[in-house]
Amino acid sequence: MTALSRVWTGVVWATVLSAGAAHAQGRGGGAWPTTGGDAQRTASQRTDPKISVEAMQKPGFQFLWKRKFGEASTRAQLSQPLLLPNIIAYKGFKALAFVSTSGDTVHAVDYELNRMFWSQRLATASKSAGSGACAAGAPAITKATAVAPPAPGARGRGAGAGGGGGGRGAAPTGPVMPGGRDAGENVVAISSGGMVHLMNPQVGTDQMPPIKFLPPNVRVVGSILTGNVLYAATTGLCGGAANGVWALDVLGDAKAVTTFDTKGAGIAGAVAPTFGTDGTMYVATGSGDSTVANAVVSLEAKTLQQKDSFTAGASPFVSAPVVFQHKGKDLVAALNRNGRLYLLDAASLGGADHQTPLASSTPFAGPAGEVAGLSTWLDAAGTRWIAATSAGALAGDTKFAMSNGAVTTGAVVAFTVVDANAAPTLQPQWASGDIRTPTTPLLLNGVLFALTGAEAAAAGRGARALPAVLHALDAATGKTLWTSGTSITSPARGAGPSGGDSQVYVAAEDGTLYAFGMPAER
Amino acid sequence: MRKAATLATLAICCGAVWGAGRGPAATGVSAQSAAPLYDWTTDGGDNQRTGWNKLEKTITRENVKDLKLLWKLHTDNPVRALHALMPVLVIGQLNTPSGTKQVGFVTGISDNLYAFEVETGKILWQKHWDYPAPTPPGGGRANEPQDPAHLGFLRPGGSSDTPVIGPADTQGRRPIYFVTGDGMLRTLNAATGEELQPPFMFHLGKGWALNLVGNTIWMANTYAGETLSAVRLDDPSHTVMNYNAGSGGAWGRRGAVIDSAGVAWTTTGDGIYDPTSDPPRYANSVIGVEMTANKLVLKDYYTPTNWDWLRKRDLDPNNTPTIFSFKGRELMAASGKECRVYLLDPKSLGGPDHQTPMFKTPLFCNEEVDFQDAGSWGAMSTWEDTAGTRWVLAPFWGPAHSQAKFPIMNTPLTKDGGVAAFKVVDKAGTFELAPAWISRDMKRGEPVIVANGMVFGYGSGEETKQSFPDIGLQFDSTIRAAKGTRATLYALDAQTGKELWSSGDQMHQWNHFSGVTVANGRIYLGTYDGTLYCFGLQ
Repeated sequence: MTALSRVWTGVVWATVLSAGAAHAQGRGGGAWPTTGGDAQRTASQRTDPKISVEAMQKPGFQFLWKRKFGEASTRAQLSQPLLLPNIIAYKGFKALAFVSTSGDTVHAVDYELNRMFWSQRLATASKSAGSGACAAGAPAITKATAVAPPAPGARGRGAGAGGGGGGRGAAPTGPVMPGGRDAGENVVAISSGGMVHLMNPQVGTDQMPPIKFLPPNVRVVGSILTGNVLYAATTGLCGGAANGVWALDVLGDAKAVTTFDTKGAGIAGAVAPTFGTDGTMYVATGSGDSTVANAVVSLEAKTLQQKDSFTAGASPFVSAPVVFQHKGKDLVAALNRNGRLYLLDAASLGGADHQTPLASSTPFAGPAGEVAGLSTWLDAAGTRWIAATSAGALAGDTKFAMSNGAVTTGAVVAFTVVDANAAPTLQPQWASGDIRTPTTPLLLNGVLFALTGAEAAAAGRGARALPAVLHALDAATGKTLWTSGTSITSPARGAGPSGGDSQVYVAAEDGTLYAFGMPAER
Repeated sequence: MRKAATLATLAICCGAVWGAGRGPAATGVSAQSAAPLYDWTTDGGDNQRTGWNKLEKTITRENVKDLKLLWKLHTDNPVRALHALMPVLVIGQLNTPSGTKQVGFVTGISDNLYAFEVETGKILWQKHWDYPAPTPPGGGRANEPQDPAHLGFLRPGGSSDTPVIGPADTQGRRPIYFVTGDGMLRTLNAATGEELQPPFMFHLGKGWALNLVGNTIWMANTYAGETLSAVRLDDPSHTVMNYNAGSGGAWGRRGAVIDSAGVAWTTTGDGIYDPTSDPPRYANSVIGVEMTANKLVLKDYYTPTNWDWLRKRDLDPNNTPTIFSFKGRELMAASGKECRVYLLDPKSLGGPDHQTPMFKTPLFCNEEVDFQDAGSWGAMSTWEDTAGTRWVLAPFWGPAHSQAKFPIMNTPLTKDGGVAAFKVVDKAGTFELAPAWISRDMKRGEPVIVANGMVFGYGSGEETKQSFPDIGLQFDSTIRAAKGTRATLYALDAQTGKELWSSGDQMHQWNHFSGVTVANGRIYLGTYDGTLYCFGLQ
């Protein structure tokens, strides 16, 4: 039976009858297919069936479960979990979180039941190990991700409706594999050996022989699969490889790799590259001597040829760009080491002189942050928000409309994008209370989740790392709604929490994955 | 044999009792023993879908080990999707042009109805219907494969219902009612196959077993735009009454189940529960409707509090409930893919909040949380032993739950499916279901028939997986069909679940959504290749 429920006609019915309510009623909304949540790296989910500011003001949201990966006594770096809220697998409907761990292993966990679904070690792991900043971390993983952002509430899959059955899923968006092998749902991992693995989401096995993509032992900042093309960004000049962006048509016959070389400039932020809604690619760079250092650079996605750039002088960028639509145009935001948030017009990143942003904030971020994060969202009233992290005390130049207490070790701040004289401006709205060196925040339906970093920036990387704490803030005010207290017993670094389907996930440094959310009767 | 037939002929004068809704009715004498012949006129044996054959006396716990394959009937019914033959119905003594015979009836999914002599397995008559491809509610069927074997397994089209046999008319003719794939309700003379009255439109969709209650025929559907449909046979306008649960189709194979007040109940499948929406939606529930002023009106419903979880994992209550009496109270037992049994009071199904059952068991299977290879499917059954103990039986797929604590766990332990038996117990005025036994392993345990202190069940041998690691979710039925094995019948001691007999490897193929029938000392089951098997005592 069915099963029910579903034949393509049923899908059509479901689409018609449940239009506009897919997320609230769908079978597992809230997909998180790539680090940062989408191609624009917005780190946000506009809707959620259970998490809201109102719900967070009542008891309910709590620590749900944790799972240690790797040996109990060892530390295994964890990637930001990717979320597949609904796959009809050979063992039934599953809601899977995919994480990778150092040691070239990729795992799938049923995130509603905290049950392992599969675990696969990549067979192409490098035989030599990097060291220091080039030490092998968790392999970059991604799933197919649409370049155009989903319509509000459209990430979920159709719900059942009508006198027949329910929907059984939208068409996948990934490369069409021979034999229809779960196209669009494959997990794409890059091993430390630089090989691409298209992994079967049901069992983790290779869907095709691994493909040569990067030199071994490179440091991959992030990856994303759009259409048939896999992109990855590398930094740190690890493995003798250039810093920059790499592209590979995974189904193409040539298996030719295209590269954009920053000529030594590092790739900024915890994730890269970022896509505009028109398919243009963006990366932000750190310091260096090249012409694309200290810049936000746009690239033509097919050729990786540089299209445009913006530089704020000799000061490096510290966040990955985020892209959003504003009045029909793509805007790009990125955070600079100078403590300013820059807002750029995607059509002309820095104007004719490549140094003129659409808008910029006054300095607000502490000077000590090496990696910062941004998230952006549209609220229910249609206001565009940008949240940024700051390490250490806030600079005094920016006056936020709302303050939530003294800040000494870090904070999340929020701006709105408001037009003034027909031009967008950044309006400082609120600063959170003290949140130590936060990672990239996550926005879920009006609630901002911020995770403390491992150590206060001023204490330096050698200082004793402290356990992470997850904070839930009212995204309109920065007011604290909830914290995880001592639930997390290990520090956390990296790309920040991911979330969707009413749960939030924290990957801690000791290789433990934590899940927070609203308990549900099962 | 000849002598027995004579006895049967004599016995017919004892009065043919209409058994369509009241359990099997004696009409003659079995050819295999001196037991009176009886009818088996509806799926599950009665309006309450108990699956309890109270009249079977030929097969006993003592002789069941001697059951043999009596004959195989190779029908010419082509498959549609995974469907082939439906459960057999039987008239113990039927006056036919060639004499009085015990006649069986089996329908094939491709709009075929066969009447056969149970003594020989020879076809007495057969009918096939052709019609222009209908457009079902909700849309057309574009891109449908030419070969119906390749159809998607969820929507086979064709005649998916089990017919129902009515009482003799004024001329002594026994009508058999059957809905063909064009939605037309056919009324045939069971003796000849001739149509007793012009067909009329009843309902398109994936319909389940018809239930005849007085002059009303009930049908539960999915992919029909309606959940329950009814038509009065004495209504010259043939007005069809419908009720749409708003979400979630009916999937219980024995169709609607009728309580003593005439309320028709069904489980509803995968979908949304939202009684406040307009129209309201009652998926993942048990709903009951009553006929009021020629309309079907919701009477009551029960929705599990974890319905959203059931929806997420497609674990809906999907089998036909059964209704029975216990200590003077009418009760209902329902189950589904989640794999727990709900004990419900038809007078207030879920209490004031519609979400409070009288009792619900812990999970007894489907620890994997798998909608396709696990859970309880098809229909519940119930019976009462001579000591007055009321039993409830649930077939299931996959292994029993590791935490399921049953006093008797038969071996080999369930891996692919089986049957779970519960006793209804009164604990200080509170009715509960107490685990009693779990059968041996069966490859996909199917709804059972209880007869003469034995449980007759079977493992369908079907490949029930819908998604595969290598090819993902695929609806082409031939993929699953190629992976099926064989159906195996089992006779179990109803008190302990102990295996008393099995058909072993005598059946050569599997089946999908069929059903076992036990009548007058014979056991019937069809397979995917259109073969009807008959086992009995020689």
